[in-house]
Amino acid sequence: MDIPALVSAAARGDQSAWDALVRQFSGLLWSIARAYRLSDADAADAVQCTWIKLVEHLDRIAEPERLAGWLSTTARHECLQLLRRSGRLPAPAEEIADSPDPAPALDHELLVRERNAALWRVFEELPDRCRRLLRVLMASPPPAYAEVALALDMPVGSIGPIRQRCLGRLKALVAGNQLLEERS
Amino acid sequence: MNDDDFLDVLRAAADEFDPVPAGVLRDASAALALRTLDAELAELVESEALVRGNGPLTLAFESEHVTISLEIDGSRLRGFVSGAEGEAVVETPRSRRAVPISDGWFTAADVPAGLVRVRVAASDGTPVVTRWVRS
Repeated sequence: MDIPALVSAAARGDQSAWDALVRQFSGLLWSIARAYRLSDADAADAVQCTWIKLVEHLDRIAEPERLAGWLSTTARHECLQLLRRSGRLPAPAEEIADSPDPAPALDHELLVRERNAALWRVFEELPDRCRRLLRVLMASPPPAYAEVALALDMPVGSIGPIRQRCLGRLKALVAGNQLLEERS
Repeated sequence: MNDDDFLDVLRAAADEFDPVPAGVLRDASAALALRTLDAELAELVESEALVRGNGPLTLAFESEHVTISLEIDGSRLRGFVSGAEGEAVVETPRSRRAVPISDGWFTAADVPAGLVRVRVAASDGTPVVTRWVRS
């Protein structure tokens, strides 16, 4: 997808180019709002504000090839502003310890649709920092680490190691979850 | 299952249990219509949230032709503009309302929470719009 071409077409008022950008990046923006635990209404607000700010900046985006990063940064600011207004800033990032036990291998049957619900509940039990990072990494289409770093204000280099530890933790939780365990 | 595969499973779960709502996509698509190619942009030069979290927010904007000060207190917006007269249009992503400017002052009640901007016509006719701010 040629993002700079879409940006300049949208800046000329091309609705279909704009809609292509919306389709490409809405998943990322939504995941960022959810990573900060915004409610449905606040998440919708944060995403809409991000798009409106892009409209305001369309002909002044300095590096259109970095649009995803610009959107990620803007979405983070919108989320933090909403959280600040409601007096709930995100919890300080806690250290993520390695998972206590080596995670047992998950077999491919986890892909079975009905288990996703149990998996989702287990995911919600993760410590905040893990939940936040993984929620953004789960965006569709998958974001680049550079964008994830901007969305969460983390060093790019820390994402890979933290991702590994957090997935390890989640696997350990899955292993201890009967519903997910007994059918695997 | 390696980490990449596991993340793919999680992505499928997210798509199923926390998808982007259709309304969010519709609003995003509609946002392009909020472009203001015709107007001079009044930039935010000062922003101050007064005391309490819910206290009034004061903002100052400047463009080549006008200066606009806004005080937003809950759903009430009060403004002072110099360099423009007639009416001020208070815009949100879903609404716009014209209110009269009297000796530079204008007031709008019941402004919905969220983004808001104000559009005026400078004395020489130049349309001017402020940046969006969160009320």
